[in-house]
Amino acid sequence: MKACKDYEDLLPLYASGDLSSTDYENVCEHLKECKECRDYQISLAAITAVIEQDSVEISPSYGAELVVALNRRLDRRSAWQKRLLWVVPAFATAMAVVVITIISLIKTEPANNQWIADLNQEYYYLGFTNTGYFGEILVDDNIPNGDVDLSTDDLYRDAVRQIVENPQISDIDSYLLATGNLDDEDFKKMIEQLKYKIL
Amino acid sequence: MSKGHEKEKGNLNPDNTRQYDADSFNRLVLENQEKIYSLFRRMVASHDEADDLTQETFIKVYKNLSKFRRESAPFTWIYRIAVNTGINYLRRQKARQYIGLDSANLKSGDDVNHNSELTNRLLQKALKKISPKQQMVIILRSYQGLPFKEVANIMESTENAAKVNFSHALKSLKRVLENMGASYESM
Repeated sequence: MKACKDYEDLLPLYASGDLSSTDYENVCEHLKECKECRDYQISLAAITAVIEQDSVEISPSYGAELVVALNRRLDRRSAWQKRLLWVVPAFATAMAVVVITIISLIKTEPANNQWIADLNQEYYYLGFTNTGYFGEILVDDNIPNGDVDLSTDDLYRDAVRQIVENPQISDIDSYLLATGNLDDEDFKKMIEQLKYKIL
Repeated sequence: MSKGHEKEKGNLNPDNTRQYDADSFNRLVLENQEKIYSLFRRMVASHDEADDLTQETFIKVYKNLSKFRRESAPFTWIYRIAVNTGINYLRRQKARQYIGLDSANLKSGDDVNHNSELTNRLLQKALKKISPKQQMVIILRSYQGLPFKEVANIMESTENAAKVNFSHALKSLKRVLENMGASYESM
């Protein structure tokens, strides 16, 4: 069953009563003359009539039941949100603690030649002559007398022993290189000479 | 408009949506639940599905109350959320090759209004076979009886586009019914 091309789109609106007055009159005139469009129109009218008669049955208590169900869901949601209010910060704090612990553990690992740096921060430090790489160990002049029991010789030996005995000494010590203007090769030579001289 | 009257109508004043209290939300639900449930009930086969979609719609309404800018009436805004929820649902169902009422649901029973129920079911089944947007426009205009201006507002289109969409939807529905062997004499 087919309608004329020009009226095909207007007939559904005619059936639902949604045509403008001009279109309505045109369609009425056309329907008087065209049997195919009339049949098409009858079938559309039958469909819309069924639709319009059809009704949805809703239980009178549905509205109240819906409100209860929605409020229950929203309460559950807000309980979750409240829980998240402390769960998220607690989790973030725990993660921060873990991260800080890991960082501090890493930091407590002996850094390369860290003890040499420590030497300088304590009572003696490595000094270098102007003539080259050969280093000597000096006692910090700023240490008040009486704070250190050891004699200067003891301090020398102690410091050199620490340098020589530490297996990391062969690595390039950035601290020492930076403060002593030594390159890797110079540093190794200096250590060998210290070994020979002191021990 | 007096404050009392605003409250009575369940108005969503953009200035106080953040403080929109539970009572006002409940009133909004009660005022619109019938239309929203009916919309979904035409669309899906069971009460449970329609109820789920109705709840989903009102939860979205609640979540988005602060975004409501009052560019349209609360009723239109809620309907728009419902229509989008419905269209998305139908698309998901179609993707799952879902077919609504199958022929087993059309078995003869001892219902007095057997013929008219059969026709309604046939129509419902045919409705599910047209596109989600076309279903919606038929439900809104023919089942819900909304004027085209309102249908256009809900579907965010022009009135003319809504009419064209409706016209195509009704033709599609007719075609599907004919393919299903429906006879208009029985209607």
